Amino acid sequence: MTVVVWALVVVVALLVLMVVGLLRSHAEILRALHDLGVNLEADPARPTTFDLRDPVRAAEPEPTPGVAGPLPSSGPLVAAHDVVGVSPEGDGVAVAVTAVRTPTLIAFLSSGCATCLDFWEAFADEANRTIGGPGSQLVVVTKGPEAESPSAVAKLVPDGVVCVMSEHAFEDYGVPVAPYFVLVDATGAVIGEGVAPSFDQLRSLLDKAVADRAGRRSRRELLRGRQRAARIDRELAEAGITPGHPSLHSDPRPQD
Amino acid sequence: MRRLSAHGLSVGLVPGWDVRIERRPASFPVLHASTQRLPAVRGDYGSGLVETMRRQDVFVALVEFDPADGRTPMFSGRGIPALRDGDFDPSAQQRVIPGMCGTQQFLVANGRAFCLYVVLGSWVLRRQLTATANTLVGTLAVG
Repeated sequence: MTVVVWALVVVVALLVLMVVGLLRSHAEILRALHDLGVNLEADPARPTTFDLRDPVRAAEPEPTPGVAGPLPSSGPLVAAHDVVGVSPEGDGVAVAVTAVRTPTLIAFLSSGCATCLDFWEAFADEANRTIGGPGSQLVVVTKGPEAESPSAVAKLVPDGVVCVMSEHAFEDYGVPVAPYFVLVDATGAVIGEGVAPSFDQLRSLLDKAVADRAGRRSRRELLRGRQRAARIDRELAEAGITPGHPSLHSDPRPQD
Repeated sequence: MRRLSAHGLSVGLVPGWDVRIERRPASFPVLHASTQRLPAVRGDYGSGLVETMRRQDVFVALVEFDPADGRTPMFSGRGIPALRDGDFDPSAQQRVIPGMCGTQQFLVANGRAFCLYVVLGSWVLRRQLTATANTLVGTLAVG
């Protein structure tokens, strides 16, 4: 009898170990997916992520005789593409994205998706067109006239917004779904891309992504808080806030 | 080289150039190309843009006229020309902006009448900017 009880105890202990191992493995997988920008808790049809990449080198522009070219950059060669297509009115449009001196936010939208409506409306406000960064340009891209109604798109495009209907652009940037956003920096490198369910969320994600990139910190590092205290001390010191600084001891409440 | 074509005009896509080929109601096509952002609202000859050009910028306009105009002496050119730095003059701008220069050439191409108007952001740098302009002008084609 005792032998049977001990055998059962051993089996249960092994099972517990196996379950713990599986749970840990599951947690590792979830964390890895999260680091890759996959959020399994959100509506899978509405993923909300915008990740900035490390700087990468855009396709080098063709040299212009007599004009000095840009300084070579490092990193793997990736393809940021100029956006070429037609306007909803049928005019030819080519928007320089590479070999320009300002960042570009490319918003891939559709006239038919309800989520896109929020972005069309938001971009009517001129102040919302520079969320890609100071001095950035906004280019709205829809699929070409073979897949989108030009008249429907024309009704949605706010005055002053550059809109290009281009199947090629969707293919060039490998756009999986609309709305989708690609951020190209002033050197013509694709530095980020992703999706957002609303304009406010896009703004928030972009701000966070740009801040993350500025600090060269990975999302995992931020989430885990590893070396957080040292980082905060360093950033405060860089801002001139050292131990004993008056701002650390003042009452933040408004004084009557 | 990829090309942009519309309204019977075509241009090669040179990196760093913004291009539009537009046709406004009851009007003839206009092609605009610039090394800086083309604003949504601008005149046929670049008003709204040329005022903000920097020294290294170039603006190109190919403005179509009524084909009947092509039979007048003013449209003496034949085909899209290659530009020379000697073509440019500060007084050739539609509205003279100090430090900049332009050229205006009237021509007939494929039976259609055009004015080729080019503005350089710097008179001093006209030699290298002419070369920049020619990288785009050399790809213009009239269908």
